[in-house]
Amino acid sequence: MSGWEVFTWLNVGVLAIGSVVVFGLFLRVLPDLLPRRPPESGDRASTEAQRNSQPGDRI
Amino acid sequence: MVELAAVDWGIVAAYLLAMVGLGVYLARLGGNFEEFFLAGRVLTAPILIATLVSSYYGIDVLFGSSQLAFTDGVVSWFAYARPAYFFFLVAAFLVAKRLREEDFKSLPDILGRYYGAGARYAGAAASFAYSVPALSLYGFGIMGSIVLGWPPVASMAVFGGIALIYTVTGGFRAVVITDSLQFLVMCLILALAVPYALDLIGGFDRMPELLPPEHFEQLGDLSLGLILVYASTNLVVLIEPTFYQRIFAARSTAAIRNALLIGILLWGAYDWVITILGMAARTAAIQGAIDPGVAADHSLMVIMLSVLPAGVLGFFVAGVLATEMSTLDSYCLVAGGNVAYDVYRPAWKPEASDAELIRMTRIGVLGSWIVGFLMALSFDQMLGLWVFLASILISTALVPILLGLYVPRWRRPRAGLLASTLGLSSVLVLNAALLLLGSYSEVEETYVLSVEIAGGFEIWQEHVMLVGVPISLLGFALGLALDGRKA
Repeated sequence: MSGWEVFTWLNVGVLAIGSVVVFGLFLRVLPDLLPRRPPESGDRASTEAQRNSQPGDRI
Repeated sequence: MVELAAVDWGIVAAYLLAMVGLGVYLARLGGNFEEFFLAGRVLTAPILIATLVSSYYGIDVLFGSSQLAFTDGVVSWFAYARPAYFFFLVAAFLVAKRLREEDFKSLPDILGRYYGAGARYAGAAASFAYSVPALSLYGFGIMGSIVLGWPPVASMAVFGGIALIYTVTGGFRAVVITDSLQFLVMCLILALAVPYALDLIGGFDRMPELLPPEHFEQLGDLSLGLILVYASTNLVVLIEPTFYQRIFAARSTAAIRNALLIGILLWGAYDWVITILGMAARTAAIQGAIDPGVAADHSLMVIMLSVLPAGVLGFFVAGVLATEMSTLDSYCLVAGGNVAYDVYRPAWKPEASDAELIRMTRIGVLGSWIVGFLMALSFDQMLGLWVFLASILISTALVPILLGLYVPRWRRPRAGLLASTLGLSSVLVLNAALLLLGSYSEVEETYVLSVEIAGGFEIWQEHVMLVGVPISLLGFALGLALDGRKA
């Protein structure tokens, strides 16, 4: 197997495995990208918690 | 045209429906302008990798790089693709951190804050022109005619229209989420295609046996001057509006730096796989396994359509669509932001509400799509059009942005205004001269102007930015001198 061929299969591996790994990590962090739904009316605990939260509370 | 099996049509239809569905779903989530245009600045490294890689690489890379590999071999990777990775590294380590030190939203926003309204508008015009999706829509036309047998205008309208729908409705959040799915499809299908293509030609070793020896020379027969000219077009990486948007939208500087570093690895692998597929297509043409007279720029598509079985072929078509949609949506959104945030708000309505800005951005996205559609129908030389638009952006924005970022005391209004306007004007004048006085060279595949002075020499379209940037630099120096005298 020539050096060119080894380099080719190496790149095929990087592309295939890399894209699957990145997509898997993307799925894990996807919820961070979606805004939280506003609390349902009557959900007073949730509303109160939001009102009292500070900017530094979210990491 | 290829007969797609029912399963392939099903895969393509499912992909297109998923794109529209995502756009409609995300449109219901609402949000302010910063959420619509920068997804709330919460992007982490995995999302950034996917959206950076898929946005920057479109059908031009897919067909352009394979065309070069088909005709010239590995030089396609070593001389054309590899220099870009250097500029990605510079962007990762030097530019990204400085860009994140202030609360910018767009590339013209930087010019506006450093140099005032005039430089902002010049930057907005250059960024809008660069972001018009003419090349993407043209690519849809080619793909539709080769694969589906559709008239190009119908492919442009249908596939470009779907990308337009989810961009207009869902904004940047829809763009990055669809980009991530598109990133997976476009990378996986290329990796999957290699064993099929090598199997068709009888193994990797057939390539060195049948192709000219120059196909395995790293720099081929290109002169150093030509390599530098092509490498310089990658300067655009340092002021890429879609890169900037993602840098501003990142959750942290570390996230964008890591994304660019991992992105370089994936870009490199992607480019190499396209190079090998282009060379495999040339080998297959020599063997008669595919049409020996196949056009170089169609070679990748033709070999894939020849070797991929039903089911996989549907993923390939979806992968090509994904490659182009992920580029089109990103650039359209940048162009829309230029209209709303960089022109409409400062020029007409500084007190515009978020709802108004979002509405204007949507109008700008639609406007850029229509301009791109008309350009794709009007121009024959799409690569030449891209070089022209990239020259505009580089000559207008490179000097004032990089000098403004690194030398705060040079943030003088006249310096920025003269640098951007003189750079922009020089590119327009030189390209007009090339079109009116020069001619298109089929051999060099570019516009060439022969000058009979000092023994005679040629000016190529690719040389224009090498003139435009120094003129922009001179304008900047002149502006500094004028402001210094005034002070």
